[in-house]
Amino acid sequence: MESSTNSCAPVTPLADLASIEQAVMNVAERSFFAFAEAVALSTAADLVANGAPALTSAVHFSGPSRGQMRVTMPVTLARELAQQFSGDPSLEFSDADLTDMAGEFTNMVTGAWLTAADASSMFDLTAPEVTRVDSTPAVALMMQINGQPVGLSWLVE
Amino acid sequence: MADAVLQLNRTAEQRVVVGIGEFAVSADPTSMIVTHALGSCVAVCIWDPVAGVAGLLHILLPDSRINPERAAQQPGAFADTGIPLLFRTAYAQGAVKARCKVQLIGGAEVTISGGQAIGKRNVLAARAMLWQNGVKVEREITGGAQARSVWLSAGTGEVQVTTAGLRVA
Amino acid sequence: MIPLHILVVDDSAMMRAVIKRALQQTDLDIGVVLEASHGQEALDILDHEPVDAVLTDINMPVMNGIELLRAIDARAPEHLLRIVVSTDGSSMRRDEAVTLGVSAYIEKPFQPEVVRGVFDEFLRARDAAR
Repeated sequence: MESSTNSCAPVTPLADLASIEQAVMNVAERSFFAFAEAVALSTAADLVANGAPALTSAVHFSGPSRGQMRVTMPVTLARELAQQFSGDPSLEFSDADLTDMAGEFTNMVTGAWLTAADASSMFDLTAPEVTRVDSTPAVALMMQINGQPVGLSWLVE
Repeated sequence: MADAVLQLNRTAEQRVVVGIGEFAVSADPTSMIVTHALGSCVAVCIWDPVAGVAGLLHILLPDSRINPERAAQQPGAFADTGIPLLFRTAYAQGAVKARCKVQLIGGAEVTISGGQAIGKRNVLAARAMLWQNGVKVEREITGGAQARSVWLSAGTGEVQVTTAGLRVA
Repeated sequence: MIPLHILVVDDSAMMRAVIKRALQQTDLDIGVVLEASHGQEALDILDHEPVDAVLTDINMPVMNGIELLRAIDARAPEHLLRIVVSTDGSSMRRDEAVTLGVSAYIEKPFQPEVVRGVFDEFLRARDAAR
């Protein structure tokens, strides 16, 4: 399910770690006014630190390429993103709201990544599938958004 | 608490100079509010064309939680404390939020700060505060690697931006 | 100014709320902002409510944004501003949208003032036509 950039597959824009980092930064900055940066892969355990739950969102894409993007974030980050996105830090968000937020974030990251890789070709995205996870998922890229961890993995068929 | 609002400097040009972490608001149409050395710092300029009220805040850091003691002494130094204070002061002089036109200038990465990206963080923090408060941004001149200076006319609301003495916007 | 009735179509409730907030930060006189979570819901609303502008996502379940735009276009509506708000920023998708009567294309992620810019242009054109 996860993609490794040190595999034997040829490096394409879609397999390029930097392009995914850039997509996350663009989304974080433009829609969430949040600071995003890459961090060590060894911090993946922070995604479910102290038993706190996390949300993994999966978006499948098709077009010139097929594959999927998976983004895992602690529920606390989903809540912070919802607050930043909505512009109201005092709002209470339901589990459904946080699921929606995690999924929409993944949707935007996937779209930004695909558009940057090939601005001429159309692609289709499935609705995000969001599940709650309690153990550290396998990820290929770890980043922080406003200091909170987010893990990404992707597959390009 | 240090004086955050400067008294008008009664020179022939009615120039009001705003330092780092300071702000000024003026309804005097002869005033020119100025700030310099905007490297990673961000200037928040507001202008209500109906009330004729202009304000400029020079933010140093994004979040007052970094240094609550300094924030208590100089709230203008931080985006989250400075921006509300700038607007409240402007409201006291007749500005209305819905009419305010806002420009952001600065947020460059002018020094090697160990990857802290303070300039970008300042811009994002200012943006987040403005979005939270339902304030629209008319223009943003941010990023890059050069320090900027800003001149805000309290007579017209015009904002001029210079880099190394040359007007860039 | 006659208040505008706007329909926002997106399967994300959070995104609909943000678009609504961005609309409120424009200088528009907004009468009502209606919401739909997919194209079929949007068509049902358009059948019963006066709408001046539609902002629609592309990738949605049940009926996606392209199918919605085709259905709207087939009705040949007069004076309905159609705007796409989508993660797909490809030139092919934009070109497809134009053929379906779309006047503006907002690519996600977007800064709030982009929404204002789109409607400023619409208002200018409308005022010029009067």
